[in-house]
Amino acid sequence: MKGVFSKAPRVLVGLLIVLGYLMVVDVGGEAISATYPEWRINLRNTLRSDYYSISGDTENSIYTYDERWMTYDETDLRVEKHTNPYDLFRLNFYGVWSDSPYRTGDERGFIPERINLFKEQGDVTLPYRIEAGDYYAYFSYRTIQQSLKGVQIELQPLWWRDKGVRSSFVYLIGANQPSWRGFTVKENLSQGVSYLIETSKGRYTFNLVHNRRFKKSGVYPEDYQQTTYSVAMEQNLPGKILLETEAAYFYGDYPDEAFDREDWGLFLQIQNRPPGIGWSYRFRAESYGKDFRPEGSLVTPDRRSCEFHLGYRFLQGIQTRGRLQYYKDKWQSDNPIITKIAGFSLSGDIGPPRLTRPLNINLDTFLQHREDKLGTLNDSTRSLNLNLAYPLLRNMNLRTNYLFTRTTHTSREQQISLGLDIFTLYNTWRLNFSPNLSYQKSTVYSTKTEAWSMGFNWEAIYNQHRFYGSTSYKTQNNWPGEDINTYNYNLMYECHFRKRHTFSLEFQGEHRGVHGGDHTDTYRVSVWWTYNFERSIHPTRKKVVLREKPEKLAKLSLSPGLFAHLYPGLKTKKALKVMTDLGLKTPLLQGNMLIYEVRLFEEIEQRQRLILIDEGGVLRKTVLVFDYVDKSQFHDFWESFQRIKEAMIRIYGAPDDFLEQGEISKNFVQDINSGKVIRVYEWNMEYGHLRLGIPRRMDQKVRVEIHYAREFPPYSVLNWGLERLY
Amino acid sequence: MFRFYLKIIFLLMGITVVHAAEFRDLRPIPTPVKALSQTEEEIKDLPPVSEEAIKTGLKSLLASWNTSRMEKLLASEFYDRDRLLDAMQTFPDRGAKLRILAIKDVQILGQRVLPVDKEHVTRVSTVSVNALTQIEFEDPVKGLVKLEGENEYLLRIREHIRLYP
Repeated sequence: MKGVFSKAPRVLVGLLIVLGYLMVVDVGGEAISATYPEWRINLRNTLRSDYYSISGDTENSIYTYDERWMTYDETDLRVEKHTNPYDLFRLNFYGVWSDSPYRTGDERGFIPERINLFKEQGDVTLPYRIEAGDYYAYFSYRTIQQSLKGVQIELQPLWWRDKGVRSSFVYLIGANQPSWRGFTVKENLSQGVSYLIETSKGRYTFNLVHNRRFKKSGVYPEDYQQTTYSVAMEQNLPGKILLETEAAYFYGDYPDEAFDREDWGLFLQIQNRPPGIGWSYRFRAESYGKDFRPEGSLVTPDRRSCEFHLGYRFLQGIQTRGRLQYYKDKWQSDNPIITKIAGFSLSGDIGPPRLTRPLNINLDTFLQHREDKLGTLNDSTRSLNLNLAYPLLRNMNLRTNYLFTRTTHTSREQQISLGLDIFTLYNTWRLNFSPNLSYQKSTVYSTKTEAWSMGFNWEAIYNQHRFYGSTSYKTQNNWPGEDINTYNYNLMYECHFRKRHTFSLEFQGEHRGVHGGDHTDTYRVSVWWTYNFERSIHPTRKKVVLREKPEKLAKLSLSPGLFAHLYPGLKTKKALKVMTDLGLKTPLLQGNMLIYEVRLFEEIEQRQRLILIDEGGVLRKTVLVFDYVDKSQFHDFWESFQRIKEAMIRIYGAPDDFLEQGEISKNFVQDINSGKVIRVYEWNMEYGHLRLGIPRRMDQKVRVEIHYAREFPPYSVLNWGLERLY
Repeated sequence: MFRFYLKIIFLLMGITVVHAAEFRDLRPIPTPVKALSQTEEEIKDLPPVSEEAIKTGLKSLLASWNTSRMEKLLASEFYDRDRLLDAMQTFPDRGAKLRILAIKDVQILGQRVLPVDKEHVTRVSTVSVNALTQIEFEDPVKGLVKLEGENEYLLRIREHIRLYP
């Protein structure tokens, strides 16, 4: 570890430079925002340093480069201006200053990685969109689909707009190159035009792409030019059937000394628009000649294929799918390879009568047969992959996986694994643990391998702090061959502070030992700091949004407005005085919780309890809990929750932030506890935040809770409720 | 004035933004002829998708390599999807891992807002990320095998946004 600290001063100097830079950004950004309020500015800067260490047998190290600190600083700048709703200008810049071969390979220093200028204007005779710099060129799967550096212009004429017809004309030019350093248009230059027309019946397009790779020693021995033409359409047919097709013609050269070649690429697909429940099907056929090789396309040349997929989705959410696939690779050669596949999959939650909670199942199985014309290849593969997940307890899930694959004359493999996911609370800490164990046995030709592995992952979250750790051990026995043991360990700490900053520290290590032989030890220490600067074109939110008049709120009463009087940070004695003034003198004491049976929301019939949580004589949190006994009446529950929300909005105004996910249904108890349904609303208050929501609870009870506290965990933490209150 | 929340509910690797079709989509340029709806106009002022979310998405995707979880993350229109998943299932070493050596540059390629109802919209962003990765597995004869590669990944990020009041 000594080496870790040897070059630390260099890192510190870098850190100071970046700190100074960010201070300038911070102050300068404020000034720019004030001068040009219509500009939105987003800047994100990450300074990261990694230290790599390798000892022992370096040949078997997971890392390539040896001991030293490797630092880089990434900047992502986005500037945007809306002159009016139809006129947008945007600049994106992504650059890195790097001293790390992992980050930028052989290049060092400052490297601009992505530059994009974007202009869109719709309030002119001919609406247009221009992109310059890095952009994604996409006409179709069979013509071009790749990142280019260059210019793309799109025109959208207003012809036949009143008849519901839209059209678009695109011209692009650009080179496909990984970096702006040493950029030259002569390396891999593409030009293309595309016309697309959309009507209520379907969409139709014509595309033309020309590509040129110039002669360059060590890269291309000759000058290669090629052109691809295509017509494609997507047609809506009666019965919610969708027909897609494309015919593409290729003419030109490609590397491997192929000149003046021509060939076709054909595609056809028919599918029904899948409804929520019921049958769905898809038929697909493709044919590509051996010389169909457009530079920017995705498809595989010299292949013919045909597929049929049939699926059914049950009312309970279980989904099944069957497939039949036929591929003929190298079909224009003397020895084509034919592959036939039949597969079946099933996924979803099933609930057998004896199980109180649903079992999640995911099954995928297929049979594959391959053979070639000359008889040199003839094998069959069987595969089965089964995943099951079952909640053993309220806070404990069991996961299992079984995998079997067998290819005749080649390999046979089995693997079984078991894992547990446990989550719990300890005071204000949220803890997750996941132990797992797996066994694997495989035979590949004459080599046999048997491996055991076990691992343990954990995570602890405390307010803005997150700790994460994992460790795993694997022993692998090989016949013939040497036995290998590997041990991995990983520790990470992450902290968010003052909204704009994130600090992270990570340690990753691995020990690899060969039984009776060499061993390799590697580790990596990483430290990084991310700074976010954001200037919105909207004015910042008010700290407190109160719809009712302050004097009305100031009037002490048993109403939802009581929260304004019982704020975090108030001395508990004063809080007790507030309650005494309201005629509530004897709370029930449970630990540091003072519990009152009160009715703050008159219109809500459910039991309501107000809890004051004391911490060293000071009120840390005020909580109101609504209990729901009859979980079967989801309509009543939902109506009651809406009334609580509306009452809060009447008093505190619109929430400053909220998260709504999933729909409330009959299964709302399970949905809330599984995280499918989330409801959280927050109001910024003078002394903290008010949060209303339905937290997930380990005892599966459904409660609506309102908390007034200085800070809350992020929305992703679902069990934010008061677990200690039964 | 409206309020919104942003949540990434799913991450996919794929090509098109909205249509599953295998050719480009027409992203309308807002014009006064068909003026922007109130929703579309307000959505234009939303902050961009966070880079943190993009990187987290890529990590989830790559961590699912050589596992059955990848099936859920791979877009339905991903070219040769079934063959990739079948090949992964019959990969010679189930213990093989994909290690991220470095996540590089990130770029939002396009966004589209789809109205769901009067109060909800869905924003779909297509994002490009470059990453340096390494496949690692133990070969009984060769020892530790490392296959390094730098690739561009296309992620589709779907956000549900609710307008308020």
